[in-house]
Amino acid sequence: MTDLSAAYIDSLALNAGAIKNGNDLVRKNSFQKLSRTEDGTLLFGECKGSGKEPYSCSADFVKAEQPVFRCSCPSRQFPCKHILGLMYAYAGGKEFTVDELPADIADKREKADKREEKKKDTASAPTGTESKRKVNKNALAKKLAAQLEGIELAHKLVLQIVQSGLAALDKRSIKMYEDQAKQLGNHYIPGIQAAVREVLVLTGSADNPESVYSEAIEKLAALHALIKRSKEHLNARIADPERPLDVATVLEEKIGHAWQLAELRELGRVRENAELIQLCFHSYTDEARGEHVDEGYWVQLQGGELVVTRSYRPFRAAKHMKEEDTCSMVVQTKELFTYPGDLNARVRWEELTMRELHSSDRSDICSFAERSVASAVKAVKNQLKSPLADKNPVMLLHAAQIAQIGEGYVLVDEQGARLPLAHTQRLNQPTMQLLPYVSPNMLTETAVLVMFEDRLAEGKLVAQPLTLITNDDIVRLFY
Amino acid sequence: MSIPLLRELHEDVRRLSIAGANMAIDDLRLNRIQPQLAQLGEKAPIFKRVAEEVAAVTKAQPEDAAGKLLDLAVLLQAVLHTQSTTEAPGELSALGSSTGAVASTNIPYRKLKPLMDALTQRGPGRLEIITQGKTDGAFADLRTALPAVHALRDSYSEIADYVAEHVIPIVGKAVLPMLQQQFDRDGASGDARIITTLYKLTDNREELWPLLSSVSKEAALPVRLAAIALMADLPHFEEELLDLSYARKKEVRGAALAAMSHLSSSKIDDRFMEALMGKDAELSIGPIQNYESAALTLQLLHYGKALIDKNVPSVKDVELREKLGSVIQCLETRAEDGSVISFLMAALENNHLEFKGTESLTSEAAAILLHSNDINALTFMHEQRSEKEYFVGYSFKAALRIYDAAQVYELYESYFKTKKGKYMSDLLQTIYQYSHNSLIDILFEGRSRQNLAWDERWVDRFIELNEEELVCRLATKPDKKVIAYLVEKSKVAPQLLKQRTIHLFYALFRLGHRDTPDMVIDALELAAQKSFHYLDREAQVVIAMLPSSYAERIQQIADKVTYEYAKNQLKQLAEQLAAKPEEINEKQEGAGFLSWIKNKIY
Repeated sequence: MTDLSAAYIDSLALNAGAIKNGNDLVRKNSFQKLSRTEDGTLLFGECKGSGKEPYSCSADFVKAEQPVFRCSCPSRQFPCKHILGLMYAYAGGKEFTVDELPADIADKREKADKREEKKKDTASAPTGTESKRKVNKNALAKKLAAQLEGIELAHKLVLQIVQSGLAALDKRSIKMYEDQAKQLGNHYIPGIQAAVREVLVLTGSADNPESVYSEAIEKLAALHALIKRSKEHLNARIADPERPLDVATVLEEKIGHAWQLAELRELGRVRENAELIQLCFHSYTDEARGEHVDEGYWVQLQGGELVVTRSYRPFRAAKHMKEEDTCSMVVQTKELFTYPGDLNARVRWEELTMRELHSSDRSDICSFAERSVASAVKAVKNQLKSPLADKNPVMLLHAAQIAQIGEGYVLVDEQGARLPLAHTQRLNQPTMQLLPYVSPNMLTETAVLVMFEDRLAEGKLVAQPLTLITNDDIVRLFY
Repeated sequence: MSIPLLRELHEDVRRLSIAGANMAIDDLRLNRIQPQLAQLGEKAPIFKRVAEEVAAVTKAQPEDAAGKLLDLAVLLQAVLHTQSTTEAPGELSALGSSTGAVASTNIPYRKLKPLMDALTQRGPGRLEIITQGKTDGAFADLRTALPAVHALRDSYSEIADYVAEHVIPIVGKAVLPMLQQQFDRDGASGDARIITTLYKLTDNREELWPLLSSVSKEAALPVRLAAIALMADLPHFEEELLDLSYARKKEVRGAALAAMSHLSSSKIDDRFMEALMGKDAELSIGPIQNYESAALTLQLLHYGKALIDKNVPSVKDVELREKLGSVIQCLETRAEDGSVISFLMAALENNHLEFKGTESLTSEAAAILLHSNDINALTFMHEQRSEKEYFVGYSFKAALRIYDAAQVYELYESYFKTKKGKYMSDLLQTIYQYSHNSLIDILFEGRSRQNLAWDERWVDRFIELNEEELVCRLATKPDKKVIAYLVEKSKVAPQLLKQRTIHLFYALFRLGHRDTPDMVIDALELAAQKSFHYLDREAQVVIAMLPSSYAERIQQIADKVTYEYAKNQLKQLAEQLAAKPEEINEKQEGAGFLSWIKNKIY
């Protein structure tokens, strides 16, 4: 805790507003009391609020990877500005008096310890039976039947849209389809429901329908394939209730299964003591799902895989949920959970600590870069041909040179093979125009994080550069 | 493999999905392509599959058509995705910029994104985000550079100006190539900002001179004006500026004249005189005021005298009068010159400036003389009061500078006998101008200013004239008569808590009148009955001056007030009064009191 940095505190804050408010409290000297315990594991203080009594807040680092925050204010944002302010005051070098551990917190620590022990007891007690959770077969059969029914419904919808043609989609028919898509909500297939809505939102929102038809047809075809695959899979599961969830592909997640950490653990999709470095961050609004999505692309320092974190903030709860952010430190986690997936598997972690990035980390990243454009393209095409796969895989490539070609830009590998750089529709923000202003040594013998996009109509596979990494520096062209 | 055929087919699938799957049955184009595919299928099995799927579509039952069409689409997409090329033929050229001091990209998303949006999009509250970004050092980030350049064209000019002035210099030389690339001489005010920032930022300004010169002659108007403004200070451009000062557009002429005023030469002297005498008189006044040249001063005086000479016989000539006015305006910055002073004195004395509708000329001349602080000029002005009745206001001002308080009183008290005098308002205005209300000073300046010394006798005179504000300002001693007057005055509608009442209370506090706290409380109680919405800052200061023993009573009044805001204000004041340090209770003035008040009110 002694190395509490402002960047780390920023990363705890729910949103930029909280960061500002927390810092403002320190600046305005709103803390009437700033204390810490002798051993430095607890910061506590009192902050003036709008009420008569000051709020007492504390940050408990007795477990550094899982700090506990407490505050007497009624804010629903957590950690609140008072807790953040307390930590900013500490990080900013304000004077903290050394005080006894307050009795109530000692109490709470004790209780937490007991809870922890109890958890361990229950976890370790029935060895052998732990991995098999009981499945209610009847309930499962019912659920599968409902899912199948929903998928039928979705399929009808998709066929109906294609039958009458995209040109026939007007406001009224879209509204009608939307209503039908709503009914899919009763069938435990949120993924398919979102995919249907995506097509409707896409065609409904465009000013010029012609411009979105190609994308809509691609989405419809993918949805069609997904529905067919789901039907097969679900029918097989109904026939054989012992059949496990599909872990080879993203099918389950596409149908709408939310993988639980316990499930992933059972399936052995856990890596221990992993370290990750974020190379790119992307936040966007998914109208079809009704959620904000914060996406981070990370390289895993032990194996070099490029993985992605995705956190969803439903519109309704967005205010009270943490907005993820760029992370410039190395994340260390005891357990890294990996979802089934393709080139960029989704990952999650529960607990983390952070450390500063060393130059050896950067050379490690560079060493993970794929050195041949040809084999990268092969891997990408291999993924793209599956209709379920993510259409914008992200890879780390080694570039002998990044250069200009006429009006465009291109990545050249050691064999002289070229990969055209262009901006992807997915990110909707060009990054190439920064290239002329980057220092030249970032543009030769460098590792480049790129996002691919296949432009079917033009028959061109292009990539958008997101981040440049050399042994000395990391330049983020995107976020 | 015959990929173009597949692409063609893909186009057809697209067309049919848009038109409706029913159209696909027996579609002519599909029927024509199908045999070709089947033939290719003999060599490559994938074409065989495609051919089969196409056949399935064209021969489908109407209710199956959509499904079959989508099957075909899935297959085609899978095939085509493997066939995209990554070709990029052409000559490679190196990239990168070594001028860039900025290379870091360390600003996190949550800080960067709002800033980028603020710089590139529209909407309220953006300037605040940009200023905050500047204090946070966000502009060291490479990614902000292009949006910052973009913001130079922002339609909200405050943002564009702020970015030009404060942000671009921080981003530094790295933006030079961006600025150069973005500059459009036929653009608008954004491009004017671009050329200005470009010029200020560059190391080698002379390189840009040819650009300035060509832009100043032909470009969009705002860009031209910006280029001309940049030519100021540069003798290199003297000839060009002289040429431009004859341009057809008035704005260009104005800008050229303004730019010329930073240089100095006899040609410019002549050009200024020419402009002043001709149709550009209005444009040239400002530049001439800024232009330092003794030779031009002489020419101005010469011209002024010539005008006066002409003016004497023909007082009706409006144009001449206006010209004389311009000359006097031009002399405004030349008051330290003895010949200017004597010219103005002579003009005033001989009534050259005095005719109907020339009050402004007189007052301008008088203002210049006052400003000069020349003892002869001031004495002259003081003496003029006996010659010209209307001049008494200026004389009074001049007298305030040359005589002490008692002398001023004796010389001028006779003018303050009644309020009815024709030029009384000038005189009273002067007193307002040269005296201060220390309550207002506390609030707006944070300190009390030293009053000009005024003779004690003025207070009695103003009581007679019933000028309560001036009594409040000038009274310094708790004279019985003064106190009685102020107390009497404060009884007029105290419940309204008007500014004048507050000033009276403040004056009474200042003079140490013992009953003042009770009077304030009474007024507040009356006001509470009538209910009021809020206390302004002056009223707060007066309440804060109550002794701390009154805290309880303020609290009681607060309970009676209905409006929440005023109630809270009073409650806070009550708390502060209760906590008021003893030494401030004793002495309600001086630095300690002021800093205490400032802490409590702001």
